[in-house]
Amino acid sequence: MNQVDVVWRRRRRRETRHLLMSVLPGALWIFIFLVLPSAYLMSVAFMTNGGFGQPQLPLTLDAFRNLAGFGFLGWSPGNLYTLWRSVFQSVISLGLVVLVAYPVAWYISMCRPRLRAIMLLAVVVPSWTNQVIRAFGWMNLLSPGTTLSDLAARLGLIAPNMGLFPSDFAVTLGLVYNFLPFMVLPLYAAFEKLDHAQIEAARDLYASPLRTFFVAVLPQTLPGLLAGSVLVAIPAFGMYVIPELLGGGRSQMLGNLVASQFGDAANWPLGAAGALLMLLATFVGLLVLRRMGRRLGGGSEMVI
Amino acid sequence: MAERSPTAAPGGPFSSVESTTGSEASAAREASSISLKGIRKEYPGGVVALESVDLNIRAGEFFTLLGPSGCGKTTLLRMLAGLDEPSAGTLSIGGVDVTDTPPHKRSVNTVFQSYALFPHLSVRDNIAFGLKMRGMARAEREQKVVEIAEFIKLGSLIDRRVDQLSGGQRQRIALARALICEPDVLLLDEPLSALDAGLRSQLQVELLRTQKRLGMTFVFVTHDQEEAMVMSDRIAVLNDGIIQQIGSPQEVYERPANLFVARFMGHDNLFPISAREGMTVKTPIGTLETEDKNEGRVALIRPETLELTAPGAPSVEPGKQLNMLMCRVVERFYRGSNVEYRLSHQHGEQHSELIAEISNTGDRLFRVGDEVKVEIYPEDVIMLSDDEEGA
Repeated sequence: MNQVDVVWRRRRRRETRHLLMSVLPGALWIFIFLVLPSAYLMSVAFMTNGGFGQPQLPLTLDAFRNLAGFGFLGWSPGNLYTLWRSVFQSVISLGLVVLVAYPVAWYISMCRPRLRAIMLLAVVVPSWTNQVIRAFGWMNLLSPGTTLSDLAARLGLIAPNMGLFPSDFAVTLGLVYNFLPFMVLPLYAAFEKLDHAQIEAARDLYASPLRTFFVAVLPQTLPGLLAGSVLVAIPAFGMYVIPELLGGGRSQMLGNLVASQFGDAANWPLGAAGALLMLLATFVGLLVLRRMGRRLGGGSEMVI
Repeated sequence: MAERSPTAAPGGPFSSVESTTGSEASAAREASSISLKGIRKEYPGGVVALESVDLNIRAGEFFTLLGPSGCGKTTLLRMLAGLDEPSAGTLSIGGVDVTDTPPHKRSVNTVFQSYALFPHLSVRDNIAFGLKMRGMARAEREQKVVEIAEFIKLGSLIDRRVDQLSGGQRQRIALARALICEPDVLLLDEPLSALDAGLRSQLQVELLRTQKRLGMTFVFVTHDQEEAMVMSDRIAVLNDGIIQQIGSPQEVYERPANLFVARFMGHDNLFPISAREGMTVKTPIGTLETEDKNEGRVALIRPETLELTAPGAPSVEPGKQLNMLMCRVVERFYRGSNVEYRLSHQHGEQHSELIAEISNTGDRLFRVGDEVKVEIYPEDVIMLSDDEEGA
């Protein structure tokens, strides 16, 4: 009896050691290059800004107060506007991306197989070009004096000679354009394995075309829709390049705020606080999407 | 005697407490006949799925569309449902032309081959779906769902999720979901093909009883000729988009209209006719007497009509002139209730094979290698045309 016990214990110890040895390198890597820097960044958010922009003790909540707009000149809403713009831009562009990508993905899934591959390629290939280059492309299309700007001015949408760029509109457009493939691809995957019998069953059971969509199509594509939403909304929230290039000074988002605090403005604690906020917002966003997926009946195959 | 409580709701067709088998409960509505005239379906690219189909299905009938895959039977069913549109021809249900009526406006419901239940809805919501779409009030709906769940004996599963059910249970839910709408016609697209053999024959019986009890018109699609024969009042055999034969199971099996139908119904004893003189035909197994006056190019002898005796034994019916040939047993398959023999026959240079199915009456069985005397009644030698269009 006892002997068996000893053998077992020895074997288990050996297995534990084996497991540890195989996991250790990866774990160390993650710890050194992800956990430690993140922890440092988070701790910076609670430090004080020194005279030369270096973070220093004591630990305070100054950075967060700063982020909320309380500076040495009193309160100003600039940072809150930036925050609000981040939320607003990512939600609006997510909505627009869904509106464009859903029919596109559906249409592609119904094409002949060879055509499908070509169309998917057409969706994806632009994203192989550098983001910055594409943003410059939009600048050329939207700046004052271009056809699009003149057209918008003539329609009374913008003041004459203002141009569509730089503006919030240009940022939204840039975001939608940039993130479209990230929504089309998961949606296409969902549409490709769509069970058409369910659609026919709904029609057969007296559902109008609209009801059929909500009962037989939408639930089946929900996993793709949610996966796409995560892939679009979260990077859009922290986007740096597009607001920087297409937004001009007045259309900054959280990413730009963080970048400037670590750069020109030399206020590391404030930048770290912004980064921390970004992280928290991401988690909250994920949680909300997950909840929504459960509520809408995605079941266990939900992607997130 | 009746277990009904005094407050029991006024009965729909499913509300009665387990009625005795065979009693015809009143149908919810008048069962409907179906009439197809010149129905043709051609897909873009020139593929013809159906070639000018004329068909009348009687009210309250269990009608089966039988054929190999790709014969057009499913296309025909989908047209009845409204899921496919005919390229030409008219389709009426209960005397009303519904050729251009969309599926959600037809009083026709379908049990799909894959069941096509809505996975994000509970069993209850799946069953109630059609009623909800028709705008029936919630309370009434709930009551009907409970009734039909009892009717199909799945009352205890009503709050489960669809993915927690077995294949047989899903099949029943799919049936309940269609039946609860009390359609004029119920369409069934190979509803049993995904089930294992035991469950399948059990559900065949249940389905048949349900149909008889409701008196509803059922149109059933299958590629399984045995299933078709067990279930149907009448069968239409299809091939290449053309109806080959319409008739009762007995007619289709015993008097196939042509070679295709005979083969599809599982007949193997088919012998080409090289010459005919009066009531005798020349075949590879010798000259056979027949009573069939029809012209034909192939002779069919059903395996269960063969009479097997030992070589020296007297004729099974001494007063009558029977076809007689000597054969040797090549293989024997014992099936309990019957025995199948594979026989070889030598006629001059011609070598042929015959199959005999003898019901097992407890007599001595022949062994492999035994010589046997085969006798065939002239009325069991049936003439078949080998063209595949003579309906």
